[in-house]
This record gives sequence, structure tokens and C-alpha cells, in this order.
Amino acid sequence: MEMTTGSVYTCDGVAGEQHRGEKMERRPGKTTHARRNLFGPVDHEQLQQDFQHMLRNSIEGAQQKWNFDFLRDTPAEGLLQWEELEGHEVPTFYHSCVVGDAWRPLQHLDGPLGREDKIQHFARVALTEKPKTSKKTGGKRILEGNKRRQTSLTDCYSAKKRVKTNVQAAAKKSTS
Amino acid sequence: MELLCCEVDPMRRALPDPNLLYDDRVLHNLLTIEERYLPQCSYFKCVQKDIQPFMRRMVATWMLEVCEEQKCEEEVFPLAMNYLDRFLAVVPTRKCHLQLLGAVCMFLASKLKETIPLTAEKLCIYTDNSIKPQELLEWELVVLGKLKWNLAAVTPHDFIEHILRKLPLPKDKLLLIRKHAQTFIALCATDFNFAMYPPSMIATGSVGAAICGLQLDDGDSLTDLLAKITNTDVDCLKACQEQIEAVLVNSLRQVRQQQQQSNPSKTVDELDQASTPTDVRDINL
Repeated sequence: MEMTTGSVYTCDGVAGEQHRGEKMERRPGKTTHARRNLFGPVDHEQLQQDFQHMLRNSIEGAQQKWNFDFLRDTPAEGLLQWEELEGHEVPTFYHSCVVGDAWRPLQHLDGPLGREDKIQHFARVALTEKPKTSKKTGGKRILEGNKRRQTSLTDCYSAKKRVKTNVQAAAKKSTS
Repeated sequence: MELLCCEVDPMRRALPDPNLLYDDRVLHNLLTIEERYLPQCSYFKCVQKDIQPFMRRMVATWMLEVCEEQKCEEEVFPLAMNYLDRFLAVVPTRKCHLQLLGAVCMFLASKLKETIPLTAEKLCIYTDNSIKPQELLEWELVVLGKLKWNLAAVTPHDFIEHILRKLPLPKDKLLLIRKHAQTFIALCATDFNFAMYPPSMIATGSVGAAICGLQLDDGDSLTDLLAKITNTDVDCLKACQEQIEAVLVNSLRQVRQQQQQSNPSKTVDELDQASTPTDVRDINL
């Protein structure tokens, strides 16, 4: 499977190999020809807008498909029937994982109270099938795996929203 | 004093697995599932407004150069192009975001196939810092979503060993044939005309072109045998192989033009850096 790169690299084969996984600057002069901007300056604001737009669409699509509100972390109306399980009832790899300090649990825009704590201790929600939806009987595991990925999708949402939600959740708490 | 010998490839690789390579069930399964990973449509006609075929070639050439310079595994580039085509077949994309998309696709393909994958930072540097690592990571999610997380696409490389072992070939030429076939596969991935072809056909055509190029063939029987191995229609296969050879000729012509245009005092090696897949100029047609 070794890749031949022609005689360009034969003289610095060793340096080239060490180069993987290290800083580009290690190999001066060799990066210049492939390093280029192809289509002019990138409009970063536009890029961000497009990204947010597509992400929202994707979350909405997932919500429809699984009738689960991934932003609020609650089941929605639909064919599938969701059932909550406690954390110890599912294998650990279904638990939310923390990568650095990047992980923040999703908040609920107007969800019921105390859910925030629950998310930490209860693992996500397992799914049981209504007989009608037998086509989707991939079983719990697949569905849960899918759910976790959606969680990471929504993790990209801005912190602002979460702060807001906390306030709303707190407000709900006091009223209920 | 330590004596270090660094001439060995530091990447540890598993030996070829006979259970995977010498079992026809694997080949049959590959043939059954390969169509699932083809782009849904010829997207320049029906999806894209801002992007033209020559832009795909530009971004593909750049991706190939990055993969060669970073010594990526051979499959990374065709796999990344598969992601790119599948994404473009469903999402209208702006021209100025195309390079970011190419970088994201390499990022994903490299993570799937390599022991030490390309880093986001490195890829951003290759775009001349026109994108930021954060943007790359964000778009990674978008691309994954649009590909429905189906990343383990079948590529022409998956078929090479299955085809080669069924051909009566001189053992000492096998390495060279394989290398040339891989080069042809990379060449096909840069050309949009091949984007809708099943990987098995590209693989079969590439092996055929490699064998013919090395003048190891014995007429029509090779094509018939090749067609049988991957259940390809003989005429389709012939057409495909001719197309591959035409792309090579074109590509070589471009290299020569570039050489003439640039400083003639430079050596060939300096000039033909990766705008054409390596080894192409060694192939005799």
C-alpha cells in the first residue's frame, strides 16, 4: 500500500515520513506547491450562516425521522414510542462522553424541571417499538447510537441559547 | 550512541488477509453493495449552479497533491472524491466553499483509512489558511449528515487484489501492474466522467489499462476475462478502458505543456509534481 511519490521525495524520504503528524514547517519548501487558495477569499460570515442553516435543517430532519426533539431532549409526537431508561441500564458507551471541556449537556427550551440533572444520571432515552413501525426495528442499540450522534450535532448550538434555556427552565420550575 | 535506521516505513501494516482477499464471497458482496455509494445524479446538470466541471477538476487536483505530499494511503484520495461527489449531488454549494468541502472530505477519508490521519490544522494550512480549523470541524458534521454517516464506501481499490489474483500474470510484474492500476484509479477520480461509474468497472478498466500499458496483454482474451471477474459488460469495459487511456494521454499532454511553459532549465522531477498522478509518465501506451 505504500505510496510512491516519485523522485521528488526520494532524497528526503526519512524527513518526509517523520513529517506526518507534525508541524508543516518541518519540511520547508515542500509544502509550497500544494498550499494554495483555489477560489479566492472565503466569506466567513456566509460560511457560518450556511452552516447554521444546514445544521438546523439536519436537526429538524432528524426530529421528524425519529419523532424526538433533539434540542430539548424529549420525545415528540409520532409513530415511535420512546421510553426512558436509567443510566445503569444501558452500556456505558451510550453515555455522553466528555471531550475536554467542550461537552455541555443540551438544555430544554421549555422542558420540564430537573431534567438537567437527569441527563447527567439517566442515560438517554431508549426506544421501544410500536408494532406498527416494525420497519424501523433496528433495535435499541442502533437507535440510541443514532441519538447520541444527534446530541453531538446539537452541541454545536451557541451557548447563548443554553443560558436562555436555563432561565426558562428555572422559570418553569418555579411555576410548576 | 544510538544507531537508528530510519529507512523503514514507520507505518506498521497488517499483512494481507487471505480470508478477505481470497474468498469470492467478499468480491460478490462488494459488487452487490457498490452501487449504494454512487452519487445520486450528475450534479452539474441538476443541482449545482455556481460550480462548474473545471472547478471540480481544480479541487480534485489540489486534493491529490495534498494526499501525495502527505503520503496518504492510496485509498484516501478516491474515497474523499466519493464523499465530495455524493455531497455535491445533494447540496447546492458555493464556489468559494468548494475547497473547504474538499478539505473536509480528505479529513474524513483520512480518519477512516489511516493510522495517523491528517489533522484539521494541516489541512487548513494547505488551503493557504483561507479556512479555519473550527470551520472545518463544523462542516465535517454537515457533510457527515448529508452522507448519512455512510463513510465506508466501496472504492475501486477494494477490487484490485480480487482482480489481480484471477489473472495469469508474471509474478515479477505484479507490483508494477498494481502501482499503475492505482495511478489510473487516482486519475479517474480527478475526472468527473468517471464519477457515476461503478468502482468495480473503474478498477477493472484500470487493471486492463495497466496491463496493456505494460504490453503484457494477449489480445481480447484479457478483456473477456476481466469482464467475467467483475460481471461487467465487455463492451462497457472496453469503452471504459479506452476512456481511461484517453484521460492519461490528455494528462500527459498537460504535463508536457506545463514543462514547456515553465523554466526549461528545471528538471522533469521538479515540474511534474502531482498535477498528474505520479508514475504516469512511466507508462507506455
